[in-house]
Amino acid sequence: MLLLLAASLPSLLNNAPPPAGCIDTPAPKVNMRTNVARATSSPWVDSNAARYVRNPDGKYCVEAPGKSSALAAAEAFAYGVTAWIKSGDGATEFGRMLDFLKALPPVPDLPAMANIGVVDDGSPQLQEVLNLLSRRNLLFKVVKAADPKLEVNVSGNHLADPSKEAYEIRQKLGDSKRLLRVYGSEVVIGHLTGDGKRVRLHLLNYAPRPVNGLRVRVLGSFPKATAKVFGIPDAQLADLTASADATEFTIQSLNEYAVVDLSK
Amino acid sequence: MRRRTFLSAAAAAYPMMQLPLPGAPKSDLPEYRVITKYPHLAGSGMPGRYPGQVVRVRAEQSIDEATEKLNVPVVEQMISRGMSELTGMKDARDAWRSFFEPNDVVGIKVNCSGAPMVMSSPEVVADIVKNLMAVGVQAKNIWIYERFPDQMATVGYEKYVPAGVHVDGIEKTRQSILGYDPATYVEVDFFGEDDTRSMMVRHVTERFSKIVNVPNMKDHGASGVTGCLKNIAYGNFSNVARSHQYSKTNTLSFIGTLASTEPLRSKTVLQVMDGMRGVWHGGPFLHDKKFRFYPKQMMFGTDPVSIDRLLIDVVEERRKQEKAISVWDRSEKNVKQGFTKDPNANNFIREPGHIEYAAGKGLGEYDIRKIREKAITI
Repeated sequence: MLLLLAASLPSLLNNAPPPAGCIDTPAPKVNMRTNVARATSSPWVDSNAARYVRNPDGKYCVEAPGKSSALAAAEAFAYGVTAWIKSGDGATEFGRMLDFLKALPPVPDLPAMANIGVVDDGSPQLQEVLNLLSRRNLLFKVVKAADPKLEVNVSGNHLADPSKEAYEIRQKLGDSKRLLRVYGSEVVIGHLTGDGKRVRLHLLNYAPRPVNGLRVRVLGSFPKATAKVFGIPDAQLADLTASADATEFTIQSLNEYAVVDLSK
Repeated sequence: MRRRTFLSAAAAAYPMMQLPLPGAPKSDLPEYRVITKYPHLAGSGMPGRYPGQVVRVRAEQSIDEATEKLNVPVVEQMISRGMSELTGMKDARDAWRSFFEPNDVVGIKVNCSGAPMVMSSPEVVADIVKNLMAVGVQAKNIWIYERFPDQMATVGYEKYVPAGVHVDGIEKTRQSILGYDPATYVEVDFFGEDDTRSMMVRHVTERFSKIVNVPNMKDHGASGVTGCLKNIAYGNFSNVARSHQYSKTNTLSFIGTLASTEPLRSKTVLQVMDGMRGVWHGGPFLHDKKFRFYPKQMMFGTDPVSIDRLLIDVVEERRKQEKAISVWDRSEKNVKQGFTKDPNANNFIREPGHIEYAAGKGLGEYDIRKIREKAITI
């Protein structure tokens, strides 16, 4: 089972040489490709989420200048990977995020939660399927063999169209069984950890501006909820409901990152 | 046009769900899940007190085409006559009083997508406000609203109404869901989009006791025409543009489904269609002044389907005059990606059948033989 290293904080790497074996990693962001024809009107999200889930033991050097250093730090922290951030002129933003991460309420290491098991066949094509699963908040974990505890298992025989494959996986799972749903934005990716009694949800906003209003549905009933939102000291969750099936709440404004702790 | 029949659960049951009839043939209509805790109030809202009835008031002097100025006394007379004829009450004040009470909180749903050249005219809206206040509704309990504040700002309704009347755009930033009620929504997956919810404007569920719908007379690139139904449906829910992709639009069934969702349906008690100006191609926006026309008329009723059925004829007639293809044209060869000023090109396969579909949802009378139109010329 994948354990999140909740205490692992990213480090700043500016002019220092990269550590041995460090994997060069792009900055997380929304890529505005206004001059490129696209099949959909959805914004193009450059996320490292799938990369981190596929290889949680990797060491990553993230080229994230300026403001993007804050998101890069949060993304690495959320997925519990070891990362160094090359921030250029973004040391201040990185520092603010680091302070936020350090101040988060401590929780024991909670396992990552997933609906989908993906057997890693090593194919480069799989990386794009995983990328699309994470971008669509279809929570997966990489497994060595099909895991009967998961609702859907995927192995080999990839479709030529990764987008179609990700949609078919979603259809197999069914939206009502999804551990996590996000409404009100196409640029927020969530990562869920938990043990059945308590859940920690990490929310990453890849856009360069706040998302004003994000509705979140987490499978399971968790009447107690608290939120920590980067840049908003007294953030409160709105319209919290906990039915037998699911817990829902609204985050009024989401900057780069938020953490929501839910419990029974 | 109706390709699937839906079962509606009993009004008191919630969440209210619509499911295909067991054994019904599969069709290309999407499956909707309607979540609301609000029951239907029998006899209230759409189709309301006057199903199948439309009062049409024409006035040649209502607008000066050269200056674009509305003739306010004529407009007020049109509204007064329209309301009197609709209710059968000689005094228009009694007509308004029959719909509204002093303690009501009234939403006026305007349409500003063609603003600043074609929109719910501020002069019309101002007279509606005046009549509401004459009934005793307080200024602070009147809300002129639309989804997008930037479109509203180009009209400047606040300059036409008394202080205290609210002018409110719901999405303070585009796509923000904060102005919507997360507990009242229609869920549907059209094209594999991940955000499958369209939430109702929160004012409608929590603040307003009644709504006046003030649409325009416009062609629409997706729904064929846009009148009462489109304005009240797409104008009161979040995340609706997702219903179109490539040449396909789901307006056929989405509009009626949204409009029939409670409490929107029960609270929308009056339809006042502002047809001083219209758009005969490229709607709902006005891309070019040449697509504007001047029907110089208003329609009054409680039945949005009947009014919209008559609207089809208004837009079709003008398009015929302009030698443009029919709003019913479904040829793939006429579909062009992106807006084109060619009136013989469509963005989508249009769906004017959404009006008949809405009739099937119980929102009004579509059969032209059964619609009782009272036409008045001033």
